[in-house]
Amino acid sequence: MLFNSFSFFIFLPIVYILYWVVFKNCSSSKNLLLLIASYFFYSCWDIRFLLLLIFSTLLDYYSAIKIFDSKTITQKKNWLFLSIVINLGFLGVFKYYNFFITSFAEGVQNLGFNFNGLWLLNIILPVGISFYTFHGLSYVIDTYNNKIRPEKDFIVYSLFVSFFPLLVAGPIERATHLLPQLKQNRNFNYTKTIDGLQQILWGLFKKVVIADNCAVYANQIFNGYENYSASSLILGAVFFSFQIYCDFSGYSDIALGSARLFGIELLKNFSFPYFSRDIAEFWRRWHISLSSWFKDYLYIPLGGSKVNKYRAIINTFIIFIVSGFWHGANWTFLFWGFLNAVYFLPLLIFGLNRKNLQIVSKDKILPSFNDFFQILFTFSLVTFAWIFFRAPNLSIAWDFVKHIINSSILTIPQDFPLITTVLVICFIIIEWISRFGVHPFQKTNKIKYVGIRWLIYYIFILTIILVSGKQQQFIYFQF
Amino acid sequence: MNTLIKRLLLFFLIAFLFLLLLSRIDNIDKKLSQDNNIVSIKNKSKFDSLDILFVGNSYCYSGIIPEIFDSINYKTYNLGISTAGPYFYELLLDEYLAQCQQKPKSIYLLISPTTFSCLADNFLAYPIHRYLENSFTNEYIAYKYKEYNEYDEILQKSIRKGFSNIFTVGMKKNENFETLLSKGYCKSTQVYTSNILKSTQALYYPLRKDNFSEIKFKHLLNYLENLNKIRNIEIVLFDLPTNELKNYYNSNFISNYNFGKNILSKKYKFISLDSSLPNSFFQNIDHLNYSGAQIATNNLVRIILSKKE
Repeated sequence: MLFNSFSFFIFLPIVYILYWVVFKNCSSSKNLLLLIASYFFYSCWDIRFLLLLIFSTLLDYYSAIKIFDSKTITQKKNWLFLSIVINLGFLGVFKYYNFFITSFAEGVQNLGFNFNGLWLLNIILPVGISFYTFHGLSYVIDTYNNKIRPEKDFIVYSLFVSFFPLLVAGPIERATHLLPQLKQNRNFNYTKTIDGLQQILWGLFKKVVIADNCAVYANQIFNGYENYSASSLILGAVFFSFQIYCDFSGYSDIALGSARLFGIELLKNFSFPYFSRDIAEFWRRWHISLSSWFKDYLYIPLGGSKVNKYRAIINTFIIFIVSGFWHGANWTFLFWGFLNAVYFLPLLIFGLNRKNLQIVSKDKILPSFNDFFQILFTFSLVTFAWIFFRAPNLSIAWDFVKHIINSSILTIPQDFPLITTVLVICFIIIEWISRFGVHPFQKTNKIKYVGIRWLIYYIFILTIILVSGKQQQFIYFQF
Repeated sequence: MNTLIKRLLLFFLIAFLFLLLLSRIDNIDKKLSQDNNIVSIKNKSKFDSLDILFVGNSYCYSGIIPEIFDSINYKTYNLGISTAGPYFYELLLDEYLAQCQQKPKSIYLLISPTTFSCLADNFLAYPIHRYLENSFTNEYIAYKYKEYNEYDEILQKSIRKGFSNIFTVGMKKNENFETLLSKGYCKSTQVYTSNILKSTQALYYPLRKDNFSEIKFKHLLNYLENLNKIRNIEIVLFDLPTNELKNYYNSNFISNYNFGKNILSKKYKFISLDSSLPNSFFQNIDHLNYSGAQIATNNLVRIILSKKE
């Protein structure tokens, strides 16, 4: 069940009404309802993977209790080790096994040895496995580090792992943030509900109008890049940058908005990343829940920034490459991670990685020339890296880049998508205006007349219906 | 909570009514449309007291030339509509029979693998129900033919069309569209080449995973029985050469199709015109061109005359 599907807009109100009308007085019933709804939501993809999800939930639930009850540090470590190995084992088998085995075979063959009979697995990747595995891991590690006490209520813990808005593509939640919300009684709040609905509408707009329309041109260019001029390739790459941003942040907005309807606040995942003035700022604003997960559970255990410069550089490369690898079993993702680490390197060496902590041009209508060119430069770097992320393999990515370095860079792009370009420009303007808040509809709350507010919503709804591109699955579902 | 529910209901009610209204004006340009399917539907009422009414999909409108029947003084009309299958046949025939002063002596119904394909009767790509004289709503069609999965997309298309009609319908000119089609026949002189194969074959790949629709097959059986017995109209089934079409279907589909065709041919007269013709008689992977249509139609005339004798 996709967030941008008709069935989701039947499913969501039904769960909502049951939640606030039928089970309004009982917190535990509300949790049970959300859990059943979440399992139903997940089983709409493939019911077989529900068993894997339940097993992973049971494993982490039990491991955390055993870690907490263990008398010795060795016992604690053993339970932690067991949980991590099994969790990552599943992830490894489903997501990385075929990649490792084919890469190994290629490596062996390159050395001149014969390697026949690859044992490849003919399996599909369970939706959301990377996300719920990381939920579980953060919970077990936090329990081990005594940041939280293990949750005894299995329904509450299962809901933490499986809550349908975040189940298949995040945000990657922390037990310290979400579990307390699930345990307390949640009361209906009119303002929060309206805010949730507004954020869902904005997310849908981003996904259906911007991302799906950009996808048409980006797919056309990436699938036949040999036949296009350099300017077309650049435009295709730029459109992919907007596609992936609006696709994923649109999904996150719908997730956050949906959760807010049930009185639950999820972690913010995006904060206007394309207005970043350097790569460090970009990574503080892009897929925040994943970046902070890696920071807390990998970067800091490796020593973080409290090590010598040489070690800090190695740690940075590890984080970015692992982050790339988290996205998928392909050398393209590894290279994308590596490239971002290279971008980050000068900032780290010169101590500039925490230079831009505030949103750009605070209290100003337009950016200064300096800010503008920094934003443009950062966006160009990010877009260049997205080429490697989007390409099916590294040789195609390099070939794509080679085709860009061409005299046709100054020509008008072929099959120029005027309407999509206008939509993207409008989107940038709306994002710029609303960059101090969470979503642009927060601005409409200041409008006194209900009719005008509603008219704005109707215009967006009509735009979604009229200008939506061909329905595409959310990109991050594959991760 | 009550305030919220009331406001949301009002908000969505207004939105729903507005969108429904837009979806209802998607066909206000039907008299001005140049689409050959719509022109064909619109013109059908002008052809009354027919000897033969041909009904079929795009193979029919590109493969049967009614003018050839003029030479033997047969009044015919080709009601071929893109992707038509049993559901389209029902909608088209019901309206035609309700409109005509005198019902046709025979209805010749085209049967091909695509007739029973799950991809046939594509209300999304060809929303003919909106362009009939007495048009049907999207909701009725979704309910009647259980097209619930497609309903949202069909509705969305209607809303888009309705919205664009607001701005464009006044700009369209009423031209003499009858010249576009010759009694429903859609002429093409294009000749099938390897370039056409290369550029179009990807469109046919989904057929590999296509399933033979038993539901549609049974629907057609029931409908034909009704036509034949209750309305007392002679039903003749026929097929046409479809070049490489069958190569794109899986063997399971083809065996089910042959089985179904066998059942139909036992119940009704079946004229097979499906013979292997060279590529020069086709415009693409599966449609006859003008030369091919001449051969197929002349063959049909010959068979009809021989049976008459």
